[in-house]
Amino acid sequence: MNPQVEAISLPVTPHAQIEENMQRKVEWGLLSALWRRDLMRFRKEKSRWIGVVAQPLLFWVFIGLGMTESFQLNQTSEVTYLEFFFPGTLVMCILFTSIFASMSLIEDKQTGFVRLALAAPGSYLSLVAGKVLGVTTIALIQASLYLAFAPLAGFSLLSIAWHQLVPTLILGCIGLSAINITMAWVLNSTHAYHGIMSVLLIPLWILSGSMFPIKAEKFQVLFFLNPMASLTENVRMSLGGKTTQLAAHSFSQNIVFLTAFALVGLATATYVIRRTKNKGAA
Amino acid sequence: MMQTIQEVKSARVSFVGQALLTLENVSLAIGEKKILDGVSLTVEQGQLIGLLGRNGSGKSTLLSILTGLCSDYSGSMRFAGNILKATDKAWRSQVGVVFQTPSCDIKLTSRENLFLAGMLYGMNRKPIAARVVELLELMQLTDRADEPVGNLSGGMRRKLDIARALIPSPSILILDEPSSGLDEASFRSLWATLLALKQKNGLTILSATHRPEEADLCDKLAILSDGKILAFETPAVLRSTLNPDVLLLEGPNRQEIADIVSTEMGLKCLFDGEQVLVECKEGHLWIPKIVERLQGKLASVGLRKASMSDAFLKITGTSLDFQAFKDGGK
Repeated sequence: MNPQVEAISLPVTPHAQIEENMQRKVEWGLLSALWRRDLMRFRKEKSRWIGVVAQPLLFWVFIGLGMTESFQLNQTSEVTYLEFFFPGTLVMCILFTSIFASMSLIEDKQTGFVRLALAAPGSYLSLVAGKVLGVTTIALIQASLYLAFAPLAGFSLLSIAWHQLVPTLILGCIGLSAINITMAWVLNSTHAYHGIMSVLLIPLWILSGSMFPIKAEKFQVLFFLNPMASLTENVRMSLGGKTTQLAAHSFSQNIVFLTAFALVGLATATYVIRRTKNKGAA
Repeated sequence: MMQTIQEVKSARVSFVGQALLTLENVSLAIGEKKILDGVSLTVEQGQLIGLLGRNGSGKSTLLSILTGLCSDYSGSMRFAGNILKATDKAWRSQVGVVFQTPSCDIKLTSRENLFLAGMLYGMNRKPIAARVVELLELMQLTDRADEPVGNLSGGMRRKLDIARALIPSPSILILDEPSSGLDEASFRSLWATLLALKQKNGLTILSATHRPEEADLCDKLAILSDGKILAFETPAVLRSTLNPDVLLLEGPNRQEIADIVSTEMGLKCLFDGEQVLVECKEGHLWIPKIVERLQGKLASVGLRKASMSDAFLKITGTSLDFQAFKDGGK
């Protein structure tokens, strides 16, 4: 080793702010770092902006136009399939965004960023909350972009009940993000993650009343237990129009269910991360 | 009772020249397998401590425990004289860690990566911004600060990792094979920076390594094998257990070569791969004698100074690895 080490002075900054509220700052710091990181990455990946909006849009246009001729909600209804299907594709937009945004956690585990976050002085809950917040924010941005097409489906932007739609979407995004993050934490392969999430969540979306009204008895139990059904119902009610009559639950009931879904999701993600952390030791 | 973050931060100021970190009988088993077996060592403030061992010897596991990533260990630890639980937030706020593989986000810029690292430790926006500028300058990365990390060379990424670990001004910098995969120039540059930080700022460094030339830089070395510390001494003391020269003998029957050299010439032999290593003084004088006695039995003879890898071989009975052995012979 070359002994000629140049004298380098390390600038001494006050040591990471010795303050009474240090603990709170540490938790907030971890949460906001993870949130900001997801947004920074999202901003740099322009193709994601297009992809996640284009996919449900194409679904809506092609399936909607194809089914319009044969679809009739009931004998007196004038609801077109394009109008019926739009809330479902908005939910699909959120679902796909949360699946893809959570998948970055697998990459983060492989590159070591997750270990950095775990070695930092924050709690697991802040770690989970930061990641969920990041994914939720991205999903809401994508949903907002998709909502710009709502007038094409007959939903005026001025008549949308935003005060109902926004909390519905936030709760739905939190719950879905937490589930996706839990699975991404457990799995080490993006292929396995994608496969399992497709098998688990896409059938729930299909059986949520997004694609067709759930009337068959055999699907009713699944419909009532399905958080995506609550999400779809509340999105329908918030968008207004003629499809609101389809709801099986009230808006408040769905909000309670979605809140429970979000809390259980967060608790599960925190528990799983805490429980499995030590596996990386050896 | 565990200290608060503020107490821990204040405590380290008055701990110059004393035991900053003490590990007593730290063990970890996964099932029947002992990963760490009664590890004890003391780290004084401002020291550079090396953990020298082969892959799988328990170095990274010990560092995982120290960075709070593994809590299933037994034994005790003390920081600045106080009992320490490695998962406690107060301790984790004191540790800067550089993992074995570069862990900065390649899609973000160096500046963004450092900024996020500051946020992870609860630092305010303004101090982070100032610290980022200082550390980028220190690591000579200012010109590349706004480029994606993916565009940087391996050596630059490693420096960025160290800058990231230094963001919260840690009491202890923990490095897991920091020069892994670096070329000679990057290795020298990286260690010049680390040694300067140690000398000028009294930074305490704990570094896992399997490179003998890295081990030579340490104030003290813990030799790890199968989860146990077999020696904890300065490189000079470890080296003093060896004769100054090492002869490297190769031939079709290494056992026969070793038998003749040890019984007839009274020299100590060790096996390392296909080679027989012979410790001796004034090796150049032994070469003609050995060549004459082993005529027809030798394929090659070499001579070099004894290195840290020889000390490791002597203590553990196994070589660090082939590459490390070669490096040690430079």
